Amino acid sequence: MNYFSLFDVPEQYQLDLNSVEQRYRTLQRLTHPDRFASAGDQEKRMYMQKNAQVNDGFHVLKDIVKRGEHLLEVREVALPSEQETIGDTAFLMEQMELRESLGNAGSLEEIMALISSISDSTAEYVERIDKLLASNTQEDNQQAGIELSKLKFLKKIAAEAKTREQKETQ
Amino acid sequence: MALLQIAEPGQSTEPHQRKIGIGIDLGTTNSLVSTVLSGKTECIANEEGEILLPSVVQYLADKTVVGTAAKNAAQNDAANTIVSVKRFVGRSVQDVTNQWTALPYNFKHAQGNPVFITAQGEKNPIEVSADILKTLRTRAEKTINDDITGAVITVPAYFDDAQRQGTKDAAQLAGLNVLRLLNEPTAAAIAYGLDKQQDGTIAVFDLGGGTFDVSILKLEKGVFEVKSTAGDTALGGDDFDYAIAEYASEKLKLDPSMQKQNHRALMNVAKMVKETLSNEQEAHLNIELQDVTHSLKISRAQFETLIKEAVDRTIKTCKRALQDADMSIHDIQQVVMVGGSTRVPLVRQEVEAFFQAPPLTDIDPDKVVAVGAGIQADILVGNKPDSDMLLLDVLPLSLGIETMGGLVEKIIPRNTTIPVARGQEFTTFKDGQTAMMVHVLQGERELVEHCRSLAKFDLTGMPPLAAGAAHIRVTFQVDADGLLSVTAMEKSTGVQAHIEVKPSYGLDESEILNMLSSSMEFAKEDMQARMLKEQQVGAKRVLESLNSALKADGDDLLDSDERAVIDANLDELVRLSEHDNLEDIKQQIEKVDALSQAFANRRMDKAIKLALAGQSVDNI
Repeated sequence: MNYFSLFDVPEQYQLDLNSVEQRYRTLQRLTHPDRFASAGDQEKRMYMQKNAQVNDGFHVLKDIVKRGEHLLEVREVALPSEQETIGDTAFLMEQMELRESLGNAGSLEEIMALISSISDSTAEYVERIDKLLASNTQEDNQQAGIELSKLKFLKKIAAEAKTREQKETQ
Repeated sequence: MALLQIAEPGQSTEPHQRKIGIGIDLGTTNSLVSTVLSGKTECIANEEGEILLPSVVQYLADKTVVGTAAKNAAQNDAANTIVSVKRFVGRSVQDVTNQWTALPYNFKHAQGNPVFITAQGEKNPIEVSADILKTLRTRAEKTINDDITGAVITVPAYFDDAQRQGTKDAAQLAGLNVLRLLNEPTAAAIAYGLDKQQDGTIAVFDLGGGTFDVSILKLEKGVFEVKSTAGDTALGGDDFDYAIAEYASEKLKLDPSMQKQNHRALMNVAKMVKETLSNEQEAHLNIELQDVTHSLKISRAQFETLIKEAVDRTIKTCKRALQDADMSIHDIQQVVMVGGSTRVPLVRQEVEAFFQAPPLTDIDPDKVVAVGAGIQADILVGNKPDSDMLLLDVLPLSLGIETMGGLVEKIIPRNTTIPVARGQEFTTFKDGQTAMMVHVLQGERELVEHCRSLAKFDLTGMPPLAAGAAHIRVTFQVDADGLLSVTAMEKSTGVQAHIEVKPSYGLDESEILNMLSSSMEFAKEDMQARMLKEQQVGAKRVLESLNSALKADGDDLLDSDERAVIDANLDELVRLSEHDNLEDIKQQIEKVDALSQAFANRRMDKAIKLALAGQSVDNI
């Protein structure tokens, strides 16, 4: 399944998310099971499956990691194994430091500062990945795969920091 | 939006042919049915003018009594009178008795699937629920004086797969065609017409007799989306009654056997006290036990102390729902109150204090869910083809599988928009292994023992390969009603693994079929005639929709050979449906379905392409 073509958007990493969302709603209106509540079984099943693809496609296209991975999948580039990322010691040190700072952060201000720095480096990753995927050479595609799996780590920490922030504000 | 009118292939309703859809709120304490009559949604009353049907069923040796009469009989015939059966649907006996220790029923087994032993024999929760639904169906048929096309049945947003499946099974047993299981809070928002308002975020606080849930709904450009839902399937107004009854038993020094014997009577007077305290500052509890009248004065403040902990739990759940939706209190524009228990002043106060907004209470909180279900049923039967409203629903609880060490690996996280299909790959750990067991669970916790066991599958017939060489892809699909189905395939050989689903609680398909065929209502000949009629109607529907599809797109999307095969088989279907050979019609429908599958797919893709192309033009 190619979600870029299902949503009729260009096959590229940076997407206009407003347009993706608009298309999502149009696709929902066309395929949602409620439109087929009194249809025959075949039609019901067919549209239910299509609607599940629409939901999954939206889930993938709006996510900065999954979207990139899907683009590589469409290009038939194998995603890197976990060892390749874990092998990068500088990156691992960075992650451990971030995690440590989050553990040590005592005040809301410290957590907010951390969230803002994570968001800055996320933006850097996105920009880098976009360039790599736009050049679309075999080498750059593979490098994009590695950057994407690093971005996945960063996303996890961002989520943890967000949870901490919510706890602190309550 | 002319675009959307291009493809509505599901709705081949002929003009002027009005169909009847009913909405049913199958509640723990009371149930209701509603329908749209001349443009207005109304709850249907019985001959005595009562709208609320108490969800109580009494099984006498020679008859089944449902509703008020059963409720009145409950006190003196507790063992044969099933109250709050909704708590048992999709649950084991222990699940229920752990929570409510003083239940007056005789269970066939102390554990596993609940089976009540009554004067009429053994009854399971699905049959009891079906008896309630049948009563409502009959009531609706009498009033509307027409056949019912289908029903929307509401369930708590927090119901898991087993509970949803149980509800659907009960409806099937009651002879209802289920158009959709609709979440109760969503139904309430529809009843208030919030779907027609401007964009915004709504919280629905639903405290019924036996269940509590809160949902955060987001409305944007005509799409109604459940952002999150949280709740407790074992918290409600009954707990308030129970707290009063316990308090009274303690104050009146009733011994446990006396308490058990008079459980129902105590609960009834406790309920009256609770209702009085919604309007008064104090109430008197009076109960006659063994010819002695006991009396106890209870103040509103005392009552509020008794229920404080339960009310606090509801507010905590509200916090969790907001967190899951990634929203804060200030994002909520409106709060809708649902369920009789929201009449309790402490509940209203706490909700208003938490959300910092006065809740909506204009529509009777007992009726609001049924009204919303009725509106949705009217749309789903096809009476409002222009309706632009779309309800997107989410999976209420994460689905996962058991992995090594009794841990649960999540496959579909909660609050994922449904329908959804996700795959997971498994491998073998022994050479030549040809079978494996998959344990599916639902819940948020990490350990198997803390989640709810949904089903265990045996994957059999796998090709014998070296350990780790077989890759079995198991696909979990959740439909729009939140119900799970599973398929599995060995990837390297393409061998379809056989799956046998054993629901952990509830009934498997053969049990449902047995109940259907043994049900008194469908005597054998009746059943045959009914099935024939259903197939003939089915054939007519297939013919109508396929003919109109062929007229529209047949020349465009089919080559002449494909067209000829379909035409010939349609002619055959016309011929067969005029005769009364049930099996022949059925087979021919299946054949036509299979032959037209590719055509149907092409039509769907064409409609999607057209709509998206139109969108691109709109954007320019």
